[in-house]
Parts: sequence; structure tokens; C-alpha cells
Amino acid sequence: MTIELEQVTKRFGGREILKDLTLDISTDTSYLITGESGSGKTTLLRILAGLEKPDEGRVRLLGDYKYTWLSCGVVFQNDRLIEYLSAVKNVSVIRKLTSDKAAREELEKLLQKDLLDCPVSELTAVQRRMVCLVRAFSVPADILLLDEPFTGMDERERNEAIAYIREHKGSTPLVIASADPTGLETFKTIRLG
Amino acid sequence: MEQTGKETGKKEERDRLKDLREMMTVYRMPLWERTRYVYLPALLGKLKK
Repeated sequence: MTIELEQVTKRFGGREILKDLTLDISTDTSYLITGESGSGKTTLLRILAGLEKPDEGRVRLLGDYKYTWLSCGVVFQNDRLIEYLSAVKNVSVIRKLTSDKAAREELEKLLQKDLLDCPVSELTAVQRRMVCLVRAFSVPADILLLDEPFTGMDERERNEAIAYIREHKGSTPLVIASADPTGLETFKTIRLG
Repeated sequence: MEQTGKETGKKEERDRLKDLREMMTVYRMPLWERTRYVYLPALLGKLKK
């Protein structure tokens, strides 16, 4: 499967955020989108997730593909967790087939056990990012889109998160938007702006 | 001043709901689960951080 972006342009309030962007996203490949703040990293991820439509150009799915939409695993720039629910419930609620037990097992790889049942509103920013990461990987996705997934993490936490990503991504195409390429040197880099 | 604070709070709540709606769309959450875990709690003011 390939997702082809052809001369994609996106404007907000008269300002061109993306201009004539042509790009192929292929299975088995990991991409790092870098660029300054405001260079269009989040916009590109939102277009790939189907949350924004390009003003010009087109996005096509090529290859043997069953549906007209993509199933995405997403880490949003802001967490978008359901604040009053626990980490376990935030993961299991998005997919009926993910039991609380399975969600707990996955979360334990990145978080301490005693944090899993308290409301996510009580977790630190980094712990919340870890919950978002597990949530993104808990759905059977055609593409993984991670927007600044390492925000606030120190070196150890970042390495843990990267190891989790590498272990779980399989052959699913992965796109990470991050201003910092540390630990992601093997990714195909696309610089915006 | 108090009114302004209330309005800001309402805007924050609307933005939070909008963000969650996008999240639920991306993850294709069924309508009854959206209602159970997000829309009804939003009405009860439980979505606040």
C-alpha cells in the first residue's frame, strides 16, 4: 500500500502552510517529519488522518486496498484523553476488542502499575504521552501518525518510547512529526518549511 | 470579570469536546460509546481537566 500526496497545498487564513508537497508514504517505511514550528508538520499529519482536506492537490491510496478510508493509530499533539477515565479505560474504550486486561498489559510496558487505574487527569504530562502512545498502537492501523510523541520526555523516557514504537510498529507505515531527530536517524526524513 | 471567567471556561469545554470528537472520529468509536463516555459526561461537566 502507498499513500500518494500529489502537489498538496493547504492554507489557513490566507497563509500557505503546505505548498505543492509531493510525497509517497509506503508500507514498511518510517518517516520523520521535521521543521520549525508552524512549518506544517501537524497539518500534514492531519491530512493523512483525513481530518483536513488539501486546498489543492490530492491524496490517493494506491495498491491493493479494501476500503476508501484509512484506519489510523494517532498520537495527537495535545493528548486528547478522556480526563476522568483511567489509563486502562482510555486505551480499551477506543476499541471494543481491546479488553481492559490487554490494555493493562500494554500500558505496564511504559507505566508503573499503580498509575494505571487513576484518572489520567492525575498523571504527569510524560505519563499521559505514554498512554497516548499505547492507545495509538492498540488499534489495527493502516498507518501510524505520531505528532510530537516525545514532548517533555527526558533521554531515558524517550529511548523507552522509541523502543516501544520499534517493537510494535511491524510493517505498518509510521510517520512521526518531531523537531528533534534524536534516536530516529534511521527514519526517512522529510523536512518542511 | 466573573462572567469572562465563565465564558473562558465554556470555550475551553467546547474546545475539549471538539478535540475529543476528532479523536473519536479517527478511532471510529461507535456512537453509543461516544455518548456513554464523552457526550453524557460532558453534559454533566465531567470532562474538565
